[in-house]
Amino acid sequence: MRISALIIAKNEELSIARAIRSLEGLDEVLVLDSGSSDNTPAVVKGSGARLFPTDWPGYAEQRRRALSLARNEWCLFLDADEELDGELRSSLLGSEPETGVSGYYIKRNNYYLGKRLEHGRWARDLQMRLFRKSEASITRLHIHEGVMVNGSTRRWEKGCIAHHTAPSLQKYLEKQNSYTTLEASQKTDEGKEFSLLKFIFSPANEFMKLYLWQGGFRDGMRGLILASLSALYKYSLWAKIHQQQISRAVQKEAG
Amino acid sequence: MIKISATVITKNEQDNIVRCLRSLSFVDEAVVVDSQSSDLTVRLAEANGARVIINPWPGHIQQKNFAIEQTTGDWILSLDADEEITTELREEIEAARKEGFYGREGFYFPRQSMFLGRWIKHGGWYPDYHLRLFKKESGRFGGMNPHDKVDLKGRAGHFKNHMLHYTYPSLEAYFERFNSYTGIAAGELFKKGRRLSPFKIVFSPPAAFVKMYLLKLGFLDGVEGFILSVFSAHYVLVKNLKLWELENIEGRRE
Repeated sequence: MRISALIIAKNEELSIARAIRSLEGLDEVLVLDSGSSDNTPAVVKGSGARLFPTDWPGYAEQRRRALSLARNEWCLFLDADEELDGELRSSLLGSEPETGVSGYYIKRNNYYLGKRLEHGRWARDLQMRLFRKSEASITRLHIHEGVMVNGSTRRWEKGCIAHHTAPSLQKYLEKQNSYTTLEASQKTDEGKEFSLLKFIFSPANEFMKLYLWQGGFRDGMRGLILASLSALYKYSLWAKIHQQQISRAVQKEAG
Repeated sequence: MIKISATVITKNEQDNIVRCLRSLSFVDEAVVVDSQSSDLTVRLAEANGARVIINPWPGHIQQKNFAIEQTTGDWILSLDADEEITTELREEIEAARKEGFYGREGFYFPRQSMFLGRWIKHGGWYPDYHLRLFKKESGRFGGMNPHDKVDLKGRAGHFKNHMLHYTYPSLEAYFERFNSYTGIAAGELFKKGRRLSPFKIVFSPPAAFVKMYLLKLGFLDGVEGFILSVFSAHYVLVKNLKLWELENIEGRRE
């Protein structure tokens, strides 16, 4: 089938070539670059994809923009840190969508620090990535955005997306730092308040859930790292909510 | 009277520079060396009585020494833009100047730092002595970037009163530094050939917490002291995890 593959990117010179290579043969590969300061634009051009330089209006809006630029009815979202496996790519190239279906969920396997995760919540998931753009809308879910499809949806049975979540701990913590800031201001807007109990127990709870109940310990050192950094995520989140409350109180006092 | 020159190096410090320079109003000369700020730093510095010199960034130590070369005074008071001299410390400095600095070549003073809007007084964060006031002919910056320190020829004294340090404007800034310093520290350990044991990964973070929160009395700093101790334990954890990463992940070694 004729598919437009859409990637939104910024400073992804290390991974974007892998993503584009995995899309070879698809009808259109379009990359929206929001002002990378590294070599991303050159890498994109060099690998034969179409480059669309633009600004950053937020995740959801950027996805909408990508859809409006796509020339095919069927669109596929891929992130710069993902790739299609061979089976998924050839099945996409070689088959037509079933009639009456507006969207397909694709299986995704997550890799962490260079190795596939086998256990726990983070090991694999299903992602709505392949859909008719005329039936799709982009909504904000939590801190991420998602695709909502009108009409019937199925699971794409052949192949997977490989998701290379963190090439390094440095990158992982960078992302975590900006996500916790975002989520803290959302939670504060919603009226959530800091308490010492939440600061202490929500990280502990997160760690136990991921590492023990969901079997993360079976992923060895990677499971331990993910569970303990997820606990750090919760600590940072609640501390940042505390910070938000302090600074909002100060602003109020200042009038 | 002995002439004191203050030096401050800056880049995009518009939120800090005014507070810093106001606390330096008692010195004979304030020199700001700016490495091409894109914000209002230069204008604010000039408006607050400093002589501003633009110099492209050569590294922390080099820039601080460059600033010293631009001064005309006998003694140097070298501050960071996010620091402030308190009234008490200023009086102590002025009293010492009247006495010819008691024959010393330089002085340490304590530094009190802010975390999450609170002055942290325990947990190993205080007194945090720094040598920032010294005779120009006896001191220059040395050490290893970004951790500079003054190499002093001669004897130093200690002042009682502290300066203030507005270290982290936000937790996001705190974690940026957390991320970069743990990376640098892990790299240093790796170069020295230090290896990790699982025991160390599991037990050194709680040990760091106990040391800071209990033994060094971090609990006296309230909720903020607790949060800081938790994050300091994670600092040790992340440093070790990054060392593990260097040892075990292909392509992470340079």
